[in-house]
Amino acid sequence: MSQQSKELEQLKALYKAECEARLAAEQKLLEVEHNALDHSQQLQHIGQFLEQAVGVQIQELQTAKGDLESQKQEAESANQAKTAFLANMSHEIRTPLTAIIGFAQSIKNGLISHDRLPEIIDIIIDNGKHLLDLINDILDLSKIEAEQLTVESIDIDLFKVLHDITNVCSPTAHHKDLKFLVEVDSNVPSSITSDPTRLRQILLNLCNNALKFTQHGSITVKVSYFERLNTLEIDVIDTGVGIEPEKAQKLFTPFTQADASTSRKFGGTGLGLYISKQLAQMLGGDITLETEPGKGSTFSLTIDCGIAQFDVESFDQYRKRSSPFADIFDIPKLSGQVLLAEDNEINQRLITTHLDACGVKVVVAEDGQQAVELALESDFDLVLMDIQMPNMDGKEAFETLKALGFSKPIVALTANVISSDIEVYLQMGFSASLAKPLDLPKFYDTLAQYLPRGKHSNNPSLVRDEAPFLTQLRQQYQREMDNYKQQIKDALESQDWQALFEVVHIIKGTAGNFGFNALTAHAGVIQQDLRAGSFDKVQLQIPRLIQLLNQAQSV
Amino acid sequence: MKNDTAEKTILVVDDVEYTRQLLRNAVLAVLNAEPEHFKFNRYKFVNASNGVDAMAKIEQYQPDLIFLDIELPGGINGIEILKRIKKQDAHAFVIMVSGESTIENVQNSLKNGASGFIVKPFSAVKVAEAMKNFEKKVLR
Repeated sequence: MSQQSKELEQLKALYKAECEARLAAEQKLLEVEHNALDHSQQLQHIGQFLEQAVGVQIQELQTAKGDLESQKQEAESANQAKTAFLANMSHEIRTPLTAIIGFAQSIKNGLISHDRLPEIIDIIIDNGKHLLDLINDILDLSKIEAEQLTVESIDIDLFKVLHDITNVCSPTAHHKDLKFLVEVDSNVPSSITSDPTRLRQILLNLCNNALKFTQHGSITVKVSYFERLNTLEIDVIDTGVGIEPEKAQKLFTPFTQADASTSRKFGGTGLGLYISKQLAQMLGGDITLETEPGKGSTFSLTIDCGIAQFDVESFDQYRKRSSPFADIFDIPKLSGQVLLAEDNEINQRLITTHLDACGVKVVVAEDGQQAVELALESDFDLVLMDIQMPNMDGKEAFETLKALGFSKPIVALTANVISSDIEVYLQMGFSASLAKPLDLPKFYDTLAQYLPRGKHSNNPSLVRDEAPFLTQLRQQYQREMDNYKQQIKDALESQDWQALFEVVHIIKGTAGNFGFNALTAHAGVIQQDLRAGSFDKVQLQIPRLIQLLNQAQSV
Repeated sequence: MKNDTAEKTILVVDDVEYTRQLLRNAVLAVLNAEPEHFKFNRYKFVNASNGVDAMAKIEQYQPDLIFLDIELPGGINGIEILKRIKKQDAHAFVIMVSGESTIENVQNSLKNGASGFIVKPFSAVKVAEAMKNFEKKVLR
């Protein structure tokens, strides 16, 4: 039993140990299982994390790929544009060069007839000028593209800029029978701060385009100021061909005029508007376009005014003050001689300038008396007669001349613009009446009515008309000059001024008729000095008189 | 007038012989240069060298047109002669001739009834103008 119980005891102990071991093992297993679960969770997390991380990277990669692709496209299209630009530029430059070289060679090879030469040379010059414009534009363009173009910000006399533009554009407008108008709102500042060169450049471009594409009607430059925005708007409004809307946008792209044939027909580099728009933006504004085919276009330029300053003087007043040539037009080419009777020195100078400009010779009379004297003395084609003058007024001078049979036209110049006065002058027999300050187109129209065109030789003198008859008479007269010389000497020796006056008087009255005009003129001077009692002066003048007599005798 | 186309007589009063010849020459040149502008082309020229002579010639020839120099020697100048001529015949057509168109000369001439004023040396334009004015007056 004991053995048995021992064995049992042993077995019990074994079992117990076994159980304990099993428990421990089970616990261990649980532990391991737990651990494994933990690990697997961790792994899951890691996996999820990895998944996320990779996903983000893929996305990033995809985006990067997309960016690269679009950059590549941009680069490609930029390159295409550059190629197209270069091709176009090369074409634009080649065209005028072809003309220049081609025509120059034709001249060299004797293919151009002499009478066509001026025309061909004009073509060469025009093309050269066009080339120069083109190169200037391209330079601007490349500066703009390289962002190297800087704009100034300095005080600009805005009225002056507008005035200058008018002066530049009006002749072309007049030539094409177009009106060129500048309308400036009363609230527009007279001075702003901006870049004067660039502003001028933009305005000239817009106005030149308008002139180019307008055949009838007018070009109006309308200037407004928006106080709250401190912005200036300059509208260039034309009544020209206009542009279809789909083509309008292309105008602001380099080298694309609305129509390929445009360049040929109207010239221009096709860069101007693009450059102008860029410049306008640099000046804090823009250029926009409203247009309708057949009705015309309005290009609106806006710029920032910077520091705007205002003046009481309006633009119109400024214009009148700064130049009487405000409205430039073709000055006719005339000839002939005009007597200007005008006592005011400023007006004398002004009107003389206008007369000089059209090729007319002017003699000025200071008052009505002198006007009468001069009108009778010389041959004038026209008399311009101021009405209010000292000593003898214009009306009296007019009546005096008419009473003596003066038949050349006499035009009244008057500050009286009252129409009833003008009526009176015309009834009196004045050929026309012009108001001062002069309306130049009207002034030149009036002149053109009475004066011969262009160059013409003066009236053939009587000397040439009757040569055979005169030759004899002149020879006789030349011999007679010996007596004059003797009489002069005698008179001088005896200081007999009356005798001297008489002989000088005869010379004055006769020499000119034989063509000895210098002699007549000099005798006239001596006569005046004699009358004034300047005998010292007279004595100094005599040797010249003798010299002229000798010269006349040797003819 | 019935004898419009008859010969007209021109009296030239000047103390210098050349001036008289030149004036005559100028008148003929003008008529020759543009005959289409003149109805009359037959003129007889008579000369006088001073006031007394002039009055005598006027009496003798009854001139239609007188060119009268202002600056005449011998105390009696052209203006004085003009006064006398006009006193005798208010319708006389007298063109004053002078070396100078001083306003005194001009106004005195006009005041005393001169029909024109020509300055020496003669210009074809002025002579033509005077001749046309003369024709106009005769034809009126």
